[in-house]
Amino acid sequence: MRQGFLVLAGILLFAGHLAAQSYSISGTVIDGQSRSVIQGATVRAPQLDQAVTTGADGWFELRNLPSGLIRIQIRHLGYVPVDSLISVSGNVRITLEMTPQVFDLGSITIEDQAIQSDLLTQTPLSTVYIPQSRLRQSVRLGGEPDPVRFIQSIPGVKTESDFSGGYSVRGGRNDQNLILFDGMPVYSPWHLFGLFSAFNSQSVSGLEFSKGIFSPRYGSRISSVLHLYATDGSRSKGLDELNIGMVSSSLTAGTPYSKKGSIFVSLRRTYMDPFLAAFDRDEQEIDQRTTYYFHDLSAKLKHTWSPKWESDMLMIYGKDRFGYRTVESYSNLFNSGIGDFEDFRERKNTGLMWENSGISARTRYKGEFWSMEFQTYFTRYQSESTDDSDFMLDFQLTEKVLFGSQILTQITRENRDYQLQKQFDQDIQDLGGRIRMTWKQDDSFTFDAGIESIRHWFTDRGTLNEQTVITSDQITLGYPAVDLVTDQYLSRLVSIDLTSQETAVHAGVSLNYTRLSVYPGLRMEHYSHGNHVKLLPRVNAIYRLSSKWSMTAGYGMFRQYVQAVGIDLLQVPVEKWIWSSPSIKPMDGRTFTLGTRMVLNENLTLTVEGYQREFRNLLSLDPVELYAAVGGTGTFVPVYRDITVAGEGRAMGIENSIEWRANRLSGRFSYALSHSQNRFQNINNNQWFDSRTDSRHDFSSDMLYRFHRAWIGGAQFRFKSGQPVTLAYSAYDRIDDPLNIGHEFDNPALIWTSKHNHRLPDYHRLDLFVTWQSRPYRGYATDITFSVINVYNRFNVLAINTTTTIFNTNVETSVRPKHRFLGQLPVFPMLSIRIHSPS
Amino acid sequence: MRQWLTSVLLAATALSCVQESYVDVPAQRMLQLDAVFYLNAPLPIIEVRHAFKATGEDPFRFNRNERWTLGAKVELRAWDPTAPPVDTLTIATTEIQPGRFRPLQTSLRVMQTMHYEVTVTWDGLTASAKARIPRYDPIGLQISNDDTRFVRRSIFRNFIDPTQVESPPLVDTLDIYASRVDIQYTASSAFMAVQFGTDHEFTGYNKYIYFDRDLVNPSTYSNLYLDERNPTFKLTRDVFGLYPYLTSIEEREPATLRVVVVVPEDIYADYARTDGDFLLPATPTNVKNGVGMFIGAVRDTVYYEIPFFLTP
Repeated sequence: MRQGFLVLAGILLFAGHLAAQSYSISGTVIDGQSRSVIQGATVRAPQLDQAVTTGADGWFELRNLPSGLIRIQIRHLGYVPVDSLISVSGNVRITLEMTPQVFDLGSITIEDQAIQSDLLTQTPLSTVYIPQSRLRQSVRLGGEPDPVRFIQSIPGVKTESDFSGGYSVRGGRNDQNLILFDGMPVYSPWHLFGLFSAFNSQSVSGLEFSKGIFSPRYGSRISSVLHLYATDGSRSKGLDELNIGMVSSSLTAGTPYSKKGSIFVSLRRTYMDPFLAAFDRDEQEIDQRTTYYFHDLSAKLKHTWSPKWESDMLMIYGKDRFGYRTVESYSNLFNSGIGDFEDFRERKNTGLMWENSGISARTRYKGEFWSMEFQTYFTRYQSESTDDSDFMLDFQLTEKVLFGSQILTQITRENRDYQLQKQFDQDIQDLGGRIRMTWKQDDSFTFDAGIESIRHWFTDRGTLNEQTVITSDQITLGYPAVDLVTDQYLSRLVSIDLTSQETAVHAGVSLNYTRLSVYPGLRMEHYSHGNHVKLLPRVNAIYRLSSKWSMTAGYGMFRQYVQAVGIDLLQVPVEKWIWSSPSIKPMDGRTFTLGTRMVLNENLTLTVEGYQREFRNLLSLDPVELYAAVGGTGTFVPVYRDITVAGEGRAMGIENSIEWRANRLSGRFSYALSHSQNRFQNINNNQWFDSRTDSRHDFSSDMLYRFHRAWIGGAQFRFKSGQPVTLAYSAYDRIDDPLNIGHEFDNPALIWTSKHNHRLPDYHRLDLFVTWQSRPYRGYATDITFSVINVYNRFNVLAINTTTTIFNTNVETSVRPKHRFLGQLPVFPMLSIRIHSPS
Repeated sequence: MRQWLTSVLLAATALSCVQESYVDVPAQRMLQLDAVFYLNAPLPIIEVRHAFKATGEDPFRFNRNERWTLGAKVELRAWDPTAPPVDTLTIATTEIQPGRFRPLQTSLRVMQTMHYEVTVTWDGLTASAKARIPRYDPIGLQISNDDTRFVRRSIFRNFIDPTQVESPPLVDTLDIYASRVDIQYTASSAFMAVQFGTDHEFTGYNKYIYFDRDLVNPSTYSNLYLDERNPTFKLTRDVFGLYPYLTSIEEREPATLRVVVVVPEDIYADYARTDGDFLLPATPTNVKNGVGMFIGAVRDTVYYEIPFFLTP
């Protein structure tokens, strides 16, 4: 820190005169203790209303500065703020140091312009950057903060339930969100059936989330971009951090080497296995075992070849496996002495596995005007679900029978074997590469262009085998057995092997004038399976009415070639991915945004943004197929057939947010008013209906408060209107057999008139946490965090299970309405310990 | 101790996630119309009922006859769109019982090309529906059995299901003749029901034919649903013939199958596949502003002779 001030003082001493020319201040922001670069720090020149964010290499640059004394403010969560005066008489290059703070009180911030991030630059109202230090200061559901869960508190982002990791953005669907880990796409990155994301928070140095008109260099999804930046080892010192939670623990280690690079490794493993093992039963008649575990790994190697060239390599791996096996068997002896018996054995075996893996290599060049990036990656997502059951009955009965005039002993033996095997496997492999180049002439003009190509390999197997074998024989005088094979139903329902190529070129410019910034761009895509070609224009504009008040507007078209259909309720890895083809059109989206931002005072900022969106060619399961998939066979693993219906969607809303940042207290209130609808063939009589995640009112607040040097507390409150569900209000005498081909009954049945005709009760929940941090001891400090989720134990309804019974007697109809509400997370205390090297 | 503690914790968590509640919403008033117009059959009786409430806090009962409407206004019309000029024939009906309307022109038969439309008005509610006779091509129906499997001898007693209460009568010795019958029909309809029957009864020492699924219920129809990717209905049935052991080969007559095929309108496929209790976006019906099945259908009966084979 002292060195930093000396540098600044030196610059001040040599400040000579003011000139009419424009100059720049550039340099690197580093950690004063570890000497590592700081990514995501805000460098602001408040007099000139300019601000930039340091990139991954800590680099920043302020341009078009007048000569004279320029006041510079540097802010970064977890560091003591720096305010300096710099005398500018020419282009200045400096290194600025920041001192780590024991606790950081930052909230979710919507940063201003950033050099590295066109998401932040072009859509400042729709984009949020969250550094790792802020992630650490949040409620910890599984004992450690979850990067993806964190964004679910952002206005415009909605979840199905407390248990689902997926999220929908501004009326979109979960499968419309692009998730990148250091530029590498990741499919379905969830642990524990969606309760946690597959990204260990230590492996994420920060995340950037954009829900607006994102840059044309992003494609493949139509609703949002979540870019997670991988941690590198430049700030680590060997064993860096140990996180102990109630569900899992993680260990991270990293180190710089030879001043040229760094290496970083992070591991996480759950220890739910022994917990579940406590419920296993190993008894004479019942053998029941449940297994579940997940683990993930990320590793990053970063090397700086020269001040202009650097490379990194990233590897990720995550896996979940769930298994439930039960064997019930018993023997029943009767007519003892003759040897008659009845043996029964039922075996069930259910298994789920899903796995994410990927490897990426990237090289970056950063010159004075040119910067380039080359990346190639291979990523894979696999899911397997199996459900086998086997029911066997052995029976033997000895009888005396009359055979002509003789009485014979007849032994009847029968073996019944009912087998049901269901398997549903999917495998997605992507091999991709991209080249991006940026030419920045000055602050007023930047040109960005690139090319990207992804080879997709997709395999889908859905199998249903059902068979009943009855073997029966009657042993009298040696007559042979009779075998009957009945109910034999063998069918491979789905078998898809698809290879396709997705290619895109994109270009965009950044035009900055005194009051107006415009970011037009164009993306052209080609998808080989079906030869789909599309031109996708996007534009964002920011108009600054004053230094504290700006207006924004945007328009964009988006397209994606894969959709995930499945059961709405739970984000389990049994959703089915469907790729575009000559007959299945790609999903298209169109978005328009309009917003404003006002800095009310130094600590208070108000943002308002409205949007209107349209979706085309959405796919959904045919309703009868959905019934057949989940209900028809009555088992856990759905069996899908390739029968979908196409539809569309529309959404509109307005999001308001007010943020404040004071010395000890920081936080944010946000409110979103929105409405989203869908329409599908053969569903709801082809009429529009409210989408599953449509919650009209959505209010959330986050607060952080430091009440002692070693203590920090936080609160998060969320309210949203109840989600729509489908409920039957009436019933009728459904005739089971109107064709009169069997039996005719008047069997009362519920009437389902329209989809999503009922609303669940409103959802609200308060989460609290408090963290205590020890002083460093032998180079390590300890944080102990106590979180309480759903403090006042609000019963938030997840779903309604209707078990209304209606039956007819000869003269009367009896109606017993019964609804059971299934709840989401009840009050849930969690304790976690973090041992880490001070940073 | 560990298992006990974890069980208590898990049970407490599970219990706190389930809550009984009730929903009390007024019933959606609507009419229920049911009738099936079978080709070449007399015009059917039209049944008119109304829906009733299924929500509330407490159980309740009511007289089920209250669901039949009384004094509804029923307008039944028929016309042949293939024979211009299209003249609409108004068919008068009479309410023979509350909610049951019989067409007065009893001599009329349901015709292939005719459309039948009904509009019912009762107590401020109006519902309408239209029935059409689906296309049915008997030539497209193919029955074959080229998979004769075995002939064996055994004693037959309580052979079918030892757990069944109603056992077939005791027979000393039988030849068991097993074959497999395939039925195939290519059509544009979405649903077909098939019933196998036989003209031979199991009496004494006469031959008897039974089918695998008939073990439980001899009158069971097999319901076939069209697979969109393969517009052909296929059904395979195992057929078992029983002949008295002492019967000479010359006396063994070929068995004759009776196959009854029913093809209704497509909407029936969704109706039949859902039992009404499962949560679906909408109750399958072709009645506007109401529920029920007001459809056309074709019923056909085909006889097929299974040749007799004897394997040494």
